[in-house]
Amino acid sequence: MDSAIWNIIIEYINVVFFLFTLMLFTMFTILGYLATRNSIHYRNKNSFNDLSKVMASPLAPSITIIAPAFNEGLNIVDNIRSLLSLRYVNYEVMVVNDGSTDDTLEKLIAAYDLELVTCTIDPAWKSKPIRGIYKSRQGSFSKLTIVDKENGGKSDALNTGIALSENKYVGCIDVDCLLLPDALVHVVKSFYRRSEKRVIAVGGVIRVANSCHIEGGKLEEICLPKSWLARFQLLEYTRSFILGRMAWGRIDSLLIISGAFGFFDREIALAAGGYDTTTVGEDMEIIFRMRRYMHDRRSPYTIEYIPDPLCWTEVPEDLNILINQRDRWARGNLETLNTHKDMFFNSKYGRLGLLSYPYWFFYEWMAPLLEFFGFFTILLFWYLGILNWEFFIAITAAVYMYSIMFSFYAILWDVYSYNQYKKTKDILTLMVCAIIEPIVFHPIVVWAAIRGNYKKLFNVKSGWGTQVRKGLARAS
Amino acid sequence: MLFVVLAVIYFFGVFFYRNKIASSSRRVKALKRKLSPIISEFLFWEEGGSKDEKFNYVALKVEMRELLKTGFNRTVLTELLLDLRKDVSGQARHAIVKLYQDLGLHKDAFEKLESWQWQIVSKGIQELTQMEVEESYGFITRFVNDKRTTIRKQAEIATVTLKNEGIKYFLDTTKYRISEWQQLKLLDVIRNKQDFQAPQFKAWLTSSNKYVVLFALRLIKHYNQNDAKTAMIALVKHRNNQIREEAISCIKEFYVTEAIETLKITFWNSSIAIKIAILDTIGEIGTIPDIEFLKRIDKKELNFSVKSKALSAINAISPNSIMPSRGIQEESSYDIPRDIKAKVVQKNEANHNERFGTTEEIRMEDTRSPEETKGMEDPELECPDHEPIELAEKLEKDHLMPKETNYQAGDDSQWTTDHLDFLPIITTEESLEEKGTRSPKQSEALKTSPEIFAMEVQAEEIESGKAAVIQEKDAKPLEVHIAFLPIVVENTVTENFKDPSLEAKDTEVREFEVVYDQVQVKEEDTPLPSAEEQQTVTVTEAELFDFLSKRAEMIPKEGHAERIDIREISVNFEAVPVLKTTDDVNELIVYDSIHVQPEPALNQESTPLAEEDLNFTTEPMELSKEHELALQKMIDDSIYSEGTEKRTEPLEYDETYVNPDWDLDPTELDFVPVSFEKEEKNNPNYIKIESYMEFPKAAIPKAMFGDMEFEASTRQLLKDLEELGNDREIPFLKELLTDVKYASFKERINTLIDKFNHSSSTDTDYLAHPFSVFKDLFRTCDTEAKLILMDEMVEVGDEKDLHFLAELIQEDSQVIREKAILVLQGLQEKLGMRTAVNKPEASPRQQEDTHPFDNLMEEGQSTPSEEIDSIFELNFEITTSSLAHSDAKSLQTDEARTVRYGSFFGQLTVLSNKILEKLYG
Repeated sequence: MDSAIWNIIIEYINVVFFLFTLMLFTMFTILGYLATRNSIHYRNKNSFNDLSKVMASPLAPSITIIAPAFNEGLNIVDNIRSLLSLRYVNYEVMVVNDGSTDDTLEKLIAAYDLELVTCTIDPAWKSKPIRGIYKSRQGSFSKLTIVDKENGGKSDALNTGIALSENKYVGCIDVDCLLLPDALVHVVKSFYRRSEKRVIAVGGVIRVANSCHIEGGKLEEICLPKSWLARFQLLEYTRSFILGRMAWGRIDSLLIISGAFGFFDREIALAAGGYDTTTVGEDMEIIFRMRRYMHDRRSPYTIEYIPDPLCWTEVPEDLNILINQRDRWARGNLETLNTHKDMFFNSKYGRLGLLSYPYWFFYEWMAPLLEFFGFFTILLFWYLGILNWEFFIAITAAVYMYSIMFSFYAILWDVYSYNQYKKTKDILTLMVCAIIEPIVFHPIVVWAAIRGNYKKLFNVKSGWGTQVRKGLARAS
Repeated sequence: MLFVVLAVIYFFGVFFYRNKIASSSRRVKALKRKLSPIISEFLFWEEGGSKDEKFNYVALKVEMRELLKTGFNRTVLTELLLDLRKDVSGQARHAIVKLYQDLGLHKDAFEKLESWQWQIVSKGIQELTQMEVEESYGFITRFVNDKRTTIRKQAEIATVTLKNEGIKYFLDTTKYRISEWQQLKLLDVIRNKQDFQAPQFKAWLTSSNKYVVLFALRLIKHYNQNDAKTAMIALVKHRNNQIREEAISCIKEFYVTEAIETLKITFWNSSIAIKIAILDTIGEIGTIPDIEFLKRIDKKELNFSVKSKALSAINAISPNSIMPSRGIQEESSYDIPRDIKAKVVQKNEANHNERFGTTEEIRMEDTRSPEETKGMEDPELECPDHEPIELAEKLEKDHLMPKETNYQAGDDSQWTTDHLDFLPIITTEESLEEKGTRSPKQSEALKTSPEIFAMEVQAEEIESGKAAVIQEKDAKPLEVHIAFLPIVVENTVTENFKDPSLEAKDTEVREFEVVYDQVQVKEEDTPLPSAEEQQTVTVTEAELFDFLSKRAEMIPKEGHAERIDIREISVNFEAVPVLKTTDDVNELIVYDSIHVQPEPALNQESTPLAEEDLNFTTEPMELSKEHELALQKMIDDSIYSEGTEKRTEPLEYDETYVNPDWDLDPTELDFVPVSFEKEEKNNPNYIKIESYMEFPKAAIPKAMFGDMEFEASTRQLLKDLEELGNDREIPFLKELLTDVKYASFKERINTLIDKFNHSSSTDTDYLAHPFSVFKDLFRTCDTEAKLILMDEMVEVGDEKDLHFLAELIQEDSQVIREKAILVLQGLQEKLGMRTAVNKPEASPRQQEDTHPFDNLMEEGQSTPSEEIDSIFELNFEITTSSLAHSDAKSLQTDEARTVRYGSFFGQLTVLSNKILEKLYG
């Protein structure tokens, strides 16, 4: 009897694992297909645009790039110089010094010849007090505004920037990101190309800049990162941005725009309440909120995704920093899903409620948990001697091979679309990463997710964590 | 297993694509490298080049045709031309466009229009648009309402680009939405169109397509078409927010004050963005009566931005109406000496409290009592208008103070959350009076808006109009090129002023009005001047002294530099040779005294200048006989160039001899009242050179000797002819022989004619059968290429190709024969020949072809009527040899006719003449 029950339970577990795996394969295959369609479509469509002509048009909209800075004294001056050299006619760079304890502000004042100016902000707008607003005395830096405020976190700094901006669109980026000169023109094109729907946000690909050659704030040569940890992240980013977000963008169900490169319709962002300062997953949360805002008003809208590599950033090469980052992402994910739990399978929100949210719930939040507990279950079964080895080996091999295949497919599309890593050695290295990643890197990510969930579920106090960056200028 | 297979496929797929991309890139690069110089040749090829150039050009064209036989090459070439077109402009761009069509690449683009794939159709439209293929307009306009977005958008751009009336067609016919991006691109196309006459866009404000209305509004604004005010006012009430916003923007731009009431009505039901736009517009074009409305908004509106905008609009209409209140310290906190503390301040304070109580903003009405105004006029008292300056300064000081001493977290009194955009605008009394009648520009300057970050005192001081501190601060020495300015006839001259004419390095000598005075040469027996006198220049032009004396009056007595724009002065050059010594020929100096002729106005007020101030004497210039001969020798030497024989006649002094080079053209002598008087003096060693001042300047002919340029150019021309010329230059040389007057030139020309005559005898065959550049090419060409080449012959061919064409008429291939006839006719027409082209003798094959008809006739026993025969009867006969002969003959006559201007050296001469003409106007 006991044995029969056990057998039933084991069979049941096997079926659950099998179905979950099958769903996973199906989902990722569909995503791969959608991403392929979208990539081809984008490639064909993009060949008709000569962006250079319109960057100085009188109809070109105004954009404010908001870059929150906290203890970025190392590279802040160079990073801002890079932001000021973008090819666009009508933009402003607003750096929000979020109560840095280092010499960030002093360096800025000295480098850009800043002076205090007066400005108004809605008294009702909730953000940490502003200490001062600075503009350069030099005409060549007239696009630059520095806001010095008390520390309130990244979301608070971004909210301050959005409130102070007067422009139609705001871009929220990481100050240490490197934007390509044409980035803003691409963004404007994405905002402006739709006529039937209002584009409320535009996101883009984040590429890994570790070990790339950067001179004077410009990307001179693209190189594969030297650190293996960074290489794994590069592969992960490629998979996520080239296939994942491209596919979600195809069906207009993007639920996240990277905090390193996100642009918003300021009016909608303000109306939706700006960034949530209580979550560490603010980049995902604001998209949820803006989408809901538009959905609730039944206004036709969309979120655009630019697959062109416009933003380059440094990824952590230190294991602890990486775990902290992924821990934070997991918490942010959970917080956001929890805040908007009423969207779960809510047909009112259409694809968002029926497809995007469940995907995030099952495959972004639950998958690491299942993997983690599945691992221990296997150990337990093995210990108890009830492990179905054939099934275990078959499903493990299938998942493993599928993950390798999917990574290869991502590399293939990266080569087909952009072909940025010219050396054959680099491609082979990435493929080796794809082969060993499920064994070497993925467990780290799963562990970080478990830690984040644990912290969130058991109210373990934790903040943003710190990321010590080498700095893009030094990376070269 | 499936995944393993897929993974392996992807693995190889990655490298397959990489290799494909790399190899394709290499091929494209190599082909581009090959094509680039060819295209450059095409771009910079000019008609009328040498025969080698023509030969190269045609050879390149043939090579290009060969290359274009493969699709890949056509694609790459199209890409290359499209890329090049973006990088060049003007003539080069036209050349690219022409080349694109000449090579038939536009046919590929037309084929693309038939594709079922949207991206290919779009690509075709894009190509045709960029290459300005106007005939595609009709084909493309049918896509303007295509349901496929990309095709439609490309067609819209093409329609607007290809023809000027395209914009009208597009706006009239489009049924779809026009995205913002598309509008941006369309506007860019229109902006960059040459000779674009913008239609009256108000016609489309009534369009049923709201996107057309929106775009029309933007175009109206861009082209400043302010004749649609009524429509704009109506559109303020439009359902679509974008149209409303754009209409409001136009109203502001065109200062449509009639729209204010409509704006007020629509305000309350508008979105925040539109409310702000309306307030911005009212602030710009509003007047005092509108302030009440703005105050109401301030009271009722909840949105901070709208309230702020309303208040700043009030300040824009009536400056100083709204004052800051938060963060402002009580006056008691200021340590003001008792003796200067004004009662009026207290009075104002009391008045203010009475009116506004303890509200956050201080609203100062302009309706101040006369007492207040009186109080303000008291210089001893603090002016209330200046109070805000102090407040602003205080605020600024506060900001500059260390933060820990000024700010506390969460302190409500912090300036950062204050309404500081309402800081005062300092204006003069005049500006306050004029506030109701401001121009838009003034209003723009006075505008206060929350989007302007800095409303600082310094910026406000600019508004004061009187004491513009910033102007003083930024005052820099202006580097203005004032050379173009006319002479200012004033006695006061600014210190440190530099004469622009002295600095202007690019002063155009050609702009000078130059009058040559005939110089009289006279013998005189006046004694040798003294040593002192030898150091001076003898000028006979008394006018010069007149002028100088008059100019002297203009020189300020303080010793400031004198200014005059030399280009404004008409100058008479008088070639006056001056000789001061008899000892050394080296001391023979020829001076060109410049007679500066001032404006009449200057003359009238002039006073004489003391003669002793100048190193001139009014004595006539004198040349010794010996030196006159030396001078003559020098002149002759300068005429004879190397390689030519020198004049052999001895330079003997003849009392009656006057240098013929100084002689005047006999035909012009009537106009010159010059008389040569030869004075028999004791000392014949001196020639008196005298300039007659009273000559009517216009009547004086140009001295032949003065045409040095002609001589120089002739000399150079002969030199070039000697080196490069051939018998074709003979007619030109003969013509030149009659023009030149110097024996040396004539002799040299004769030598050249002889030389060319000799050489021409060896080229008789060439003249009879001139070499055609096409002949060589034809040897290696297939029929298609031959036909293409023959097309080119009409364009680039010349008389040398006539014989070759005549040969072609005898070709076996009927296609070539027919083409040759057409080309020959075309070429002859081009060359201005009227020679009839003989119908070629039928080739054997042709003769065979005619037999069947003859047989038929025979079979039918019918004979053609004489009448019919007579129709085809030719009353002349041309044989091949006679054709060749006539060709050669016509060639020669044509050469003779065109040699003057058609030959290389003929053109050179014309060119040099043209340059000289241009130089001397």
